[in-house]
Amino acid sequence: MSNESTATTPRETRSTGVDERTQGRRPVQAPALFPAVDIVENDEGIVLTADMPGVTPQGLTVEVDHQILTISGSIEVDMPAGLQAVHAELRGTRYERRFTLSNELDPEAVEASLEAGVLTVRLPKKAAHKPRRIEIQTG
Amino acid sequence: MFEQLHQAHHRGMTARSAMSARWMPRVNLSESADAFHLHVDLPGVAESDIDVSVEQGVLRISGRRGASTQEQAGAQRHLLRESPQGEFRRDFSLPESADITAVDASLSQGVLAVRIGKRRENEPRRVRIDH
Repeated sequence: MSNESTATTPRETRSTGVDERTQGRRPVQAPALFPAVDIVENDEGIVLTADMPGVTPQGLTVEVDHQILTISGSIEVDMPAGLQAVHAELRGTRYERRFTLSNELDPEAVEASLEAGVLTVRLPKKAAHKPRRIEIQTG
Repeated sequence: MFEQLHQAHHRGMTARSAMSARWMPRVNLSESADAFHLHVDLPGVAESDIDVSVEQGVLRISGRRGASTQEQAGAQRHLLRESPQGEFRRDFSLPESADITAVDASLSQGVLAVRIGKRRENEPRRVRIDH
């Protein structure tokens, strides 16, 4: 009997704050922007996509530490010199967001890719949590 | 002069957000000595799905963001859905000084950059005096 679980849902860790574990070793930075995120779950695991326009692969960080997934990226947009801002709807230089992962997910197998300003993170479930097909013996 | 672009831009914004729940991509507007610069956040939008046009002094940026290409591997459910989808449109009234023949657009990392050149100020003209 499989355990019907909804615990896969990554939970938001906190809105903007700096994690206690990282506070000691990283300088506290300006508040980061909050990327819009979609999360889809299927039998294999979860796929998280985050809108991070202006972030290059070099400026992107995806880490899992103690079941906390952190996605962050610095915004790098080419600006000609001597530019004067007239109207800004987007103020900020980086995105950051954290999620607490359920222990069904395998943090070792996380995969990330970035395309057209959208980050995709794939987190497969641990083998023990994937649904298995049980052959029914007849005889 | 940029004031005109700025204010018209605000008018357009208010009207449109009241009109429909369509996606309003975020825009940063800036100005340099020789051009106006727009940066529009369009994450996940293909270049072929973006349209930039100038008509009767209005610069329009429009297009659509298709459904994200999640593979359909068995049953799947959405746990979180925040990303804007569907059609978007933003209009900007251009000031007199904008040169509509000098508009360039490029897309990089989900950011559309549009440069609108400024017309050169009226240069002093030599008036010939006929005798």
